[in-house]
Amino acid sequence: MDSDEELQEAFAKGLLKPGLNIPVKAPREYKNNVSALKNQINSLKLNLPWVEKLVLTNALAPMAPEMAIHMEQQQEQRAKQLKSNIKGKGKKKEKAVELEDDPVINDFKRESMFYRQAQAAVLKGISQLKELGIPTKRPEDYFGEMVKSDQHMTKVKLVLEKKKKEAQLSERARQQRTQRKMAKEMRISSTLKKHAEKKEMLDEIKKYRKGKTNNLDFLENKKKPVNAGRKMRDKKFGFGGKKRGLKKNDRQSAADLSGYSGQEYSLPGKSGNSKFNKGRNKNQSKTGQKNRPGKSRRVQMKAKRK
Amino acid sequence: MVKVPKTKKRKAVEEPTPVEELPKLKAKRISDEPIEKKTKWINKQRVLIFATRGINHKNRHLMEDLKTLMPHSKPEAKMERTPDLRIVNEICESKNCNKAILFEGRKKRDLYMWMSNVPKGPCIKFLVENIYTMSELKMTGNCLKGSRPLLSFDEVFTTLPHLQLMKELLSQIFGVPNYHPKSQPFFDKVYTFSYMDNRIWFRNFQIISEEGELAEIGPRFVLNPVKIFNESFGGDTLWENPHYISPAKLRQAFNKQAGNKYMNRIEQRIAAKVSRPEVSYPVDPIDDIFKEKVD
Repeated sequence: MDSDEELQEAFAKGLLKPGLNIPVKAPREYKNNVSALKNQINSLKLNLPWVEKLVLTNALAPMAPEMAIHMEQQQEQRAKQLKSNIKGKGKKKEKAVELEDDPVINDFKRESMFYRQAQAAVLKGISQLKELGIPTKRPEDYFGEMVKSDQHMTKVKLVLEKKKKEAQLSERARQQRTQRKMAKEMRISSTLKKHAEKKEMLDEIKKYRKGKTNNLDFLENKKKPVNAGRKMRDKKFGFGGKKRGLKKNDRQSAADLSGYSGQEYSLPGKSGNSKFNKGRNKNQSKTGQKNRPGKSRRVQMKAKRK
Repeated sequence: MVKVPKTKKRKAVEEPTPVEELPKLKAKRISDEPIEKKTKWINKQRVLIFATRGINHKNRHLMEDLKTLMPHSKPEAKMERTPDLRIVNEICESKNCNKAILFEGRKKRDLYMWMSNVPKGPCIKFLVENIYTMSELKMTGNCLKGSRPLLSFDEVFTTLPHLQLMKELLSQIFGVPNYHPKSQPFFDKVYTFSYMDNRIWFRNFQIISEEGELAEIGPRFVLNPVKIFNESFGGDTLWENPHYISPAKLRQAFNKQAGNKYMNRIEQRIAAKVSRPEVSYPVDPIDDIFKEKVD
């Protein structure tokens, strides 16, 4: 039906309806000559024992648990990445996650499937070879030409090491980032707490001033816990007030002889009162304070302590 | 590994190895002893691997990789592109090969791979996609040159006749014959042929331990079957892939889509201009009379 006359005839007969008429192409038929294919298979087949061909047809090996864990981690990571990449567009996100399940698109999933297939083949093939009594491993001292050169393999190794290092560095950086974040949060929360406490205290004071309460407990309750070390140092070195001239003698202190027994400065023979020495330790002087050993002894003791 | 000179290598083979591992090898051979004729080599497959002019560097590397992996292959100078490929049969005959892999490049871009059983056929034409060569650094495995691979096929390959045929031809081409003079008697690699997305995915793994630890050696490629012919490089078509779209057509469609995008936008703009109403909302002017303030 190409010429105008033919078309007119067809229209007169009612074969053509008014409107746009487009020639419809018949769907292409794809050849699939099954019987010839089967003939070819039969003529192609080699009638040889399995060892000559080493062909295995096998399903996937069961997934190793560590691989399953790895896969889960990878998926989580991918999901996270997608989340950060696509923000707010819910529809798009869903689609992206869906695509991840398809092994044709998801590289890791696909490759792990191939790996598992190879694994199953190895387990089956090696055991089959062993049954036939064929050695499979090569001896340790057997050197032969390899497919990839030594130079190439060192390159591969270097790249692997670099990758590992990079991963470690990025991991460390991530940890530091999280730590910094945590520290910042802590700082903020502590300042907020401090502010809140101060405000509370001021409120209480205001109340007291206006005579709403007579209770002054809030002043004591909020006391900080006393630092023992600080207390000691305050006692030793003083806290507050004038420090100048504190150790100077004045009339009273000069006249005070309570810390002076007189015996300390007398000769050992003269002071031979056994009464005094009875209850004392070797290291203790008569005043009851510990004796400080000499310099050389002190050095020795220090060395021993270490 | 270090490349060992030939004489040394032979010596290494004859060195006394652990008895339970290789019982057939003798520690020493007496010089008078007649050389044993090697009749063990039964499966005599020889594969001619070559290409037509006009394949790009990556495809050439892939071809070289296949040559290194297959000790039973023979090289040949690249061929001029001809519409009729039956000349290949003659080349194979002169080279004493009964299988052939021919790489055919188009536009320095697309790669087709012909696999054929030479004198009688059949012959399969594949489109090769997603090529990664062995020299890629993420492939960390390594294996002996000339060791025999285990060939692992997906279970799907036993179902449909065209897949069965592909399996048979692939296994005969890629399998290294037992006792081939250039082969090594150890097993340290597996080839996997998986069927997914109407394509055949090829992977090559090194067997690190026999408990199933593997490392990929490469190369990687995906074979998208196009047609199966009855004879070698010609003859009737036995099977056609209904899912196959030629890469040129795909590119064309993409270009068209990209071109259409611009046209579509312009058309939309014009349509919007035409259909835009002159008055956005019919407002009665009388409604506003009492809203105005009168001084």
